[in-house]
This record gives sequence, C-alpha cells and structure tokens, in this order.
Amino acid sequence: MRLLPPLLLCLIGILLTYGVCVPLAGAPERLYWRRQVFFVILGLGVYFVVARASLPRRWSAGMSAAACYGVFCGLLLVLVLLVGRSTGNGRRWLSVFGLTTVQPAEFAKIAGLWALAELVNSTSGLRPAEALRRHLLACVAVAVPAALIVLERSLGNAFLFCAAAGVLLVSRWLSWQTLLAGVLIAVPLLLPLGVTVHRLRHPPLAVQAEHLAEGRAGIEARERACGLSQREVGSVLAPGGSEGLFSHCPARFSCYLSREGGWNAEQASRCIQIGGYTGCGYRRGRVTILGYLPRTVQHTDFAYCVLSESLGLAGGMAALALVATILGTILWNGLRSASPAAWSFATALAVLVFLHTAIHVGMGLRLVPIIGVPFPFLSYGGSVTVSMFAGLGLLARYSAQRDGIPMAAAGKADGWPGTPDPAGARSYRQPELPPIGAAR
Amino acid sequence: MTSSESQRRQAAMVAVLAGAVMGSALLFAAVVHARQASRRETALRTFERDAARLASVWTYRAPVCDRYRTPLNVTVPEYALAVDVSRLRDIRDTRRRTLDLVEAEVSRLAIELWPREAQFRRISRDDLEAHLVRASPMPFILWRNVDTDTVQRWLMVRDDHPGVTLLPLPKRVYHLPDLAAAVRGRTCLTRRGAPGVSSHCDFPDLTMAGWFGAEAWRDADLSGTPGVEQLVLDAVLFRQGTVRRADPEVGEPVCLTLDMHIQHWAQEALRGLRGALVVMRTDGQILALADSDDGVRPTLAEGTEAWRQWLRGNRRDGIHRCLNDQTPPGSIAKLAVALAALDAGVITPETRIECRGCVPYGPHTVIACHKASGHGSLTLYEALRVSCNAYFLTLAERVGWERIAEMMKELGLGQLPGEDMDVPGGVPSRLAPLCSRGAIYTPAYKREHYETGVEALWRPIDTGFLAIGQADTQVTPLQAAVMVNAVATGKRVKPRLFLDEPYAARDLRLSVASREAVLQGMRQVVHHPNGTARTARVEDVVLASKTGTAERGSGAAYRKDVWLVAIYPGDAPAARIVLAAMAHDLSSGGRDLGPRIAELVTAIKEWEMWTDDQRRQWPGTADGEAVCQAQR
Repeated sequence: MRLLPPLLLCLIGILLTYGVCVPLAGAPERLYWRRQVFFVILGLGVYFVVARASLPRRWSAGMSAAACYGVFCGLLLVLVLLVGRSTGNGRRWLSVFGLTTVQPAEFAKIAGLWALAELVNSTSGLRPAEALRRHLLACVAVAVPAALIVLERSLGNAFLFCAAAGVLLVSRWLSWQTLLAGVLIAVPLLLPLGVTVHRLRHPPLAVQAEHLAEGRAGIEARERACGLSQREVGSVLAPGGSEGLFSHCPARFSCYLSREGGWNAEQASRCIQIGGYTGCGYRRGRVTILGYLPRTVQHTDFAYCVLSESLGLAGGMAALALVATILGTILWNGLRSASPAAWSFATALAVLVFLHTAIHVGMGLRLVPIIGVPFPFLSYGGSVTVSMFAGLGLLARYSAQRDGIPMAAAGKADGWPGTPDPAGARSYRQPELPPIGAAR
Repeated sequence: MTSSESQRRQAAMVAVLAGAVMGSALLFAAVVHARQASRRETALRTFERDAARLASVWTYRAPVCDRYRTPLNVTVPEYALAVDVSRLRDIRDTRRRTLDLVEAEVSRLAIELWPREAQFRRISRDDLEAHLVRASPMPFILWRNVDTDTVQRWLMVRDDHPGVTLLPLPKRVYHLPDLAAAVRGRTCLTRRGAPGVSSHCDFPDLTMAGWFGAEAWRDADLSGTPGVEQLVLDAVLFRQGTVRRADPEVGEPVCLTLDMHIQHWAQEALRGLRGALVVMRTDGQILALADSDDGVRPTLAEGTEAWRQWLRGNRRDGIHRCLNDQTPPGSIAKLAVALAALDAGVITPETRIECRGCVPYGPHTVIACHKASGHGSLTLYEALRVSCNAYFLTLAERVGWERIAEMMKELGLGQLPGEDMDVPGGVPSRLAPLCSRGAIYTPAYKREHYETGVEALWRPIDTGFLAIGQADTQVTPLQAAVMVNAVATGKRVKPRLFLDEPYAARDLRLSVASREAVLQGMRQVVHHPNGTARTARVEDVVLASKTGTAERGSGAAYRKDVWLVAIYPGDAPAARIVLAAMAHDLSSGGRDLGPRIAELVTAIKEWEMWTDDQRRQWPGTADGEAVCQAQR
C-alpha cells in the first residue's frame, strides 16, 4: 500500500510523457515514455532490493551507508566532473556504455542523507567530545558532496541536498519547541519577500516611464522593468563574471524578477492558466502540443504544468494530494520505526520530496526562479525516479526492520546493528538520543 | 515517562509540525494555482492570438477575352513540387538538422525523378536555409512547371516522400501574343494579401497583379479576392493546422471590344509605318487599336525583363499611340470648319469661294494652298475633295475662331473620351485616365502657352492655322475617330474598349443637311478622280474619307504627319464603322495611307459577311498558335 501513491504518480507521469512524446501526425515519435516505463520498473527493482536484500552479518547499516556515500557522493561525483557529459550549463551526466545517462547527484542526495542520518545517530553513548567530533564530521559530509554538486553547476540539487541535510541536523540538534519558534518566525518573513518580488515585477508607472525615457527599448526595457538590470543582479550573484560557476544565475533571476518572466516561465504559467479548473483534456493542451512550452522540458521541468493544462486544477491537486500522501507515509514510517536514524532519514527524505514538489510547482506558478527541479515520480528522468524509489526502499527497510519482516522473510538477521535479536523488534532496546543540543 | 517515550513524543511533534508546514505550503500552491486557473479565458485569447497567423490563398485570375468572349489572357494551373518542412522535421530539431533532413529529401527526390536540366533547377543549401530562416509555414517550392511525365513518376513514389507535395500554381497564358499586346496588357508577380487583411496578413502569397494594359486597368475585377487561411503555428512557426479558411473569390472575366481579326489587319496595315490606327464601330465600341509599336514592342510571349526595358524606354510617350500620340490634325480639321460654317448659315454647300493659291495675312505673310496656281472657284464639295486650304482659310475668317473652336469641342477634340457628356450611361469612359486630352488652338490656349508680348496675341493668321489644323492643335487618333463618327452619326459617342461599358452618346446640334453636305464632300474625296483619298477606293464600297497633312519643324527637322479618316460605308444612315489613321514622317495621307486603308476596308467588308463562328476563329498570325508564358 505504501507504494501505491508513488506508483500512481509514476503512471500519470508515463501517460504525460507519452502525451508529449507521441506528437502530431507527421513528426517522428520520441521514445521517452518507453524509457520512463523502464526507469519505473528499474526503480521498483531497486526499491525491493534495498528494502529486502540480505547482507552479510558483519555488514552494519553504518558501513552500508558509508559505502554508498563513498561511491555516490565521492567517486561518482568526482568522476562526473572528470569524464561527465557536458550539456547546457554544466557537466552533470555520466554515460552508461552509451546506452543511457545517469545523474550521480540524484543518487548522492539519497546516499548522503542516509549516511548523515546514520552518522548523527551513532553518537549515543559517546563522550561529548567524540559526539561533537562526529557532528563536525557530519557537517563536512554535507559540505563535500554539496561542493561537488555545485562544481557541476547544478545549484538546484545542491540547494535541495543542503536543505534536507540541514533539516536533518537541525531536527537532531533542536527541540521541537525551538523548531516551532523558528518556523513561526520564518513564515512571516516570507510575506515581505513576496511583496518585494511583486513590487519588482510591477514597478510604479513613474519608474517605467523613467526607463522608457532613458531610451531603453525592447528587451532591455523589459529587463529593466523590474528595477534591476542583469548586470546589477549579476554583480551580486555572480562575482566571477560570465565565466564563473554562477554565470547563468543572473539571467534566471532577471527573468524571475521581470514582468514576463522569460519564455519558459511565461509559457508554463500560460499552461496552468489555460488548463483552468478542469483542463483541456488529455493531449489537447495546445501550449504543450504546439511546442510553445519547449518540448525538451515539457516532461521534465514542467511536468506539473503539462498536467495542469491537460487536467486543470483538479489534476494538479490530485497530484499534490498524492505527494501529500507520500509525505505522510514517509513521516509515518519514520515515526513508527524503531531506529532514530530511520526517523532522521525519513524527515530528510520528506523534506527532499517536499522541496522537489514545492519548487517544481513554484516554477510553474512563478513563485520561484526556474532552476530545473523535477516533480518526484511524475517528471521524466531515470536518475531521480530510481533514487527516489531507493530512498523509499531504505525507509521500507528501516520500517521492516522494526516489524521483523526481513528476518522473517530471509530467515536470518540482516546484519544491521541494533538488531541483535532476530526474534523481532519488540525486544529491541532503543538507543538514547545524543545529548548535543538537548537540555538534559 | 521513559526517555524513549519522550523521544517518540518529540518526534511526533516534529512530524506534526513538518506536516503542517508542508501542508500549508501545498495549500498555498493550490490557492495560487486556483487564482491562475481563473484567468483561463484571457490566457486562451492571448494564446490564440500568438499562435495564429493569416496567410493569403491565391485565387483564380479571370481571363481577358475578346468581343466574342474567347479568352485571350488565361490563367492555367502549373504544377510544382514543393517540400513541406513542417512534415519532415521534429519540432525539437535544430535548424542544422532540419536543413540536413530537407537536403537529403530533396536529393533523394531529384535522383528518383531523374531531373531534366531544363526543368529542374539546382536547389542549393543556401536556398533551403533562407527558407528556414524566414520560418515560413508555406511550402518551399522546389521545381516549377513540372511536366506530366515527372508528375506521373512522382505519383509512383509519393508514399516514400510524405513531406513533398504537388502544388497547382497559377500561370498566365497569352494567346495571340503579338496582337494588341499593349492593350491587353500583362501581369507581374507581387506579394499581397486579401483586400482588407493585407495590412496584417502575415504570409501574403506571391500572386499575379495587373502590370499594364487591360490587366492593370481592370485589375480589381480580374484578380478577384484572395482567400485567407488562419493557420495554427507551432512555436517555431511551422504549420500545425488550419483554424479557418475563407475561400478565395474568383475574379470576373473582362471582355474587350476588340476583334482579333480586325486588330490583326490593322496591325498589318501599319507595318513599316510609325503611326496609329483606330477602327471603331459607330456605337463607340473599338474594334482595333493598332499602333506601329506593335512591331517593335515585345510580344506577350516574351519575358518580363524585355517588357520592363520597353516600358522604361517608352512609358513617357504613353502606353499606346492611339490614345496618347498627339499630332496636329492637318486638313481633317476642315471637317469641323465646314460643319461650323454650315451650321451657322455662313455658307451653303453650293456657295463658291475663290482660291488664288494663297491667302495673305499681312504684307509679307501668306498661307499657301497646296496648288500654287489656285483651285479657282470652289463649292464646299469641291473644296473638301481637293482639300483646298484657301477655301477653308477664307471660310474661317467668315465663321470666326469661336465657332470653329466650339465645333471642334462639340466633335470631341481637346477632350477626354466621355468627358462633357451630360447623358445617362456612364461617363467618363474607362479609357479616359489613359488618354491624352489633346488641345484646340484658341486665344486662351495661346495666352496660356505663349506668355510674352506679341506672341501671346491672337492674330487673324491664327484663325487660319486653327482652320487647317496646323500650329498647336493636337489630336489623338482616338479623338479623330470620335470626330469623324460624329460627322457620320450626328452623335458624339463615348469610345468603349470593354463590353461591359454602357453605350453613351450625346446628340450634337448639327442639322442633317449640314452633315450630309460634309459627307457628300467626303465621299467625293474617295470616289472622285481628283479626290485626295482616291487610292482608298474599294470596289462596291461607298467610302467617305478625308485626308490631312500637318507640317512641323523647319529646315532639316521639317516633317509631315499624315492623316486619313474614313466612314464605312459612307452613306450616313448605313455607317457602321469609322477609321482614323495617322502616321508620322510621310508626305501625303492619301498616297501613303490610302492603299493600306483600302486593304483594310476590303478585309472588313469580307469580315462583315462572316458568321460569328468564323469570327471566333483566331487569325493565322505569325505566332498564331497559342503561346504560353510562364508567370510563376
């Protein structure tokens, strides 16, 4: 049952990909939808392998997490920088025997969060100095892959990883009262931010007239209509100039702050508007079919917009409800898991899924800049789909470990620490929470 | 409470908190989404405006026909092979890949159809790239005027070339290309949309438009209304469908009043001369408009460039000598003097006036008669017969320039066709904008054109010049035809070149006796042994005629322009056709033009006995077979 929401989302995603890949008469068909079917099947395989596979007795969860971390956050991220395929702005893809490509950053996020969860929860019983050292090590463990991902110029993934890891650490360090206070303080701060963006996008008439009077016409005038030129934004965001790691950011932010928002954002917003409440119908969205929303990104970065154009607000809300169900399932599984590492990982995974969804939807609604984040399970993409299933698989493994399923299924202990009694989790003595940050 | 329970409670709190935050965020997204979804209608309108483009659809250009409604200038389909890039490319393809695709397709097609050099032009990569840069939804035309063999070969392989289409394109074909070329006119290619939408028609079709002649004068009728197609274009402007289509409206055929047989004979009559010849029915329908340029100017079978060069060199003289060649009328002006004198009662036809070889206008100024010894005492008939200058100079003194000028104006000189005709039936003539007005030599004219001193004063000798058609009186051959037609019928008709123009004529204040007297004199011009147009005599035909000779220049530049006007037959009630011929640089209207007019009248006499079917058969000209001229 816990796989039903993601599988439903995957099904919708495959149908959407089919819709945009089997074009109007005359043009050749693109095979993305078939690949997506393969990716979903592969993801399911990975899910069951991760959730149920037996490991040698001497393999601990920490060791597994560390190995994964080493492979995905170290080896592959370095490899992609050395021999990765360069597309667009960055070098993010590794070719697999010329058959397909993978994006190691997606796997690195899951592996990194898992390793981090194991690391920060392995401090029970340690002396404060040792615990502190481990937490510092955790910070380094976040910083290294994040830096490598930034070097790939995949700032969106770096941000998502840091945000999820940050929530994981903070939830480990702070009490829930402190977290609540932080949220209550942070949320009102979003309001003036939104107002500022709105004012930048819709400057007073006097400012517009001033810009027009300066003789700036056409695109330049529109760019300046937000009150900031690309150069001004760029000087803040991209100190390295046009050749730096952040050289592509000024244009994106300038588009975000401008009234029209750039071609992609404008067409994405148009998709949602034209979809209305009930949508135009499957494969009847003209913005999508006619390619006004570029076909290269329809099924990836703007899958939600395509869904909204086809099925309207109703379809969009259904997808969001499925995501909410997935989030609930993740949190519930983490909550009822016996392991604190499971809870930490569940929190981080939930944050990751949530941020993926929120940013993806926000891009279509022009709430956030266009940074190319896929909708989990809905967007086309092998790496993100398989890595998300792997994350769910890990959580299922934690959950099953509490229920004793792996042992019952395999007939032996899976070898992870904290499961000394193969008879079941009921006799499992929960490790105590580490003292750092806790008022004990 | 144990520590594990405390821990679980804390985790639950965090879960609730996280769930609340995430739920709020998703709810916020839902609200924003709902707000955007409420703007559906506006967004749809904007999108449809952005995605739709108008393209014009070519229409069938109606034919230009002769008076028997036989098409002369015809539009026929010409087949062309074109490639529809929209159907070949994937929307994700880059321009370079699309270019490769199209190039490969074109190469494959060319090989399969085994190109023939004359028909298949080489398609360069630059041509294809230029089409792609234009991002036009229109098909790219590869080869035009594809013959039937190639079409059949293409039909056999068309399933292998889904992006290639066979397009019917309009082509203008000109039958009898050397007859009345300037009058029938020609089309040229232009890029225009449908009327009313042309200003915002994004893709106006390359279509035919009238260039000169009847094709230009009646362009609005012939061209019809191009259709409009509202296309749905994808993001890179390739055609993805059609929203609506307003079918084009076919133009209306335009029928000329010309008879191709008479036109052919008239052109033959002018061969070797520099002049013009009008053959007109007495109801104003023009049967032939021939000018000597017909042998010089390109035929309609020749290319656009030849015509462009000819028009560039000759346009300032007007499109046709019949309409624009203004020449002093010489002695044919004497018809107006005679009518003015008879109508005013100054003389009777039998009144005799003495010719002594010249008429003095001062101590050293005379105007000589062409017979230096003088004709002696002459009646009006005799004076017209021998075209005596002295008689009409004396008569003009008695009548006065006012009556002569008035009569000339009544007869249509110095006026555009159809002008000053206060009768129902449509004035002015469709020809009026193309014609020259000519001029009547009067004191007002002289004041206007000779501004200084004595030269601007009207002298008695000027009345003499007016009477014998010298000095600055200017007449076009068409005006001469209208004048002589007025003598024959007593009406000033509106000359008509198009069958759909209504008949219009104004009764002149001329007594039948006066006209009959003048006609009698004109008949003697042909049939009397001393008549100046006796060379135009045709057996069994009563012809009334008048010759004229106008002098211009002096010394080495001295030239004579000659005229011959005729009424066929010369009996007033039976008159059906009038002719007016003019030629430059000859010596005598009777001697030089008479035999040619006689041949023409002989042919017309035979033509009158033909049935309509015989008249519909085209004459056997040098290029008598239908000659096609590709226009696209």
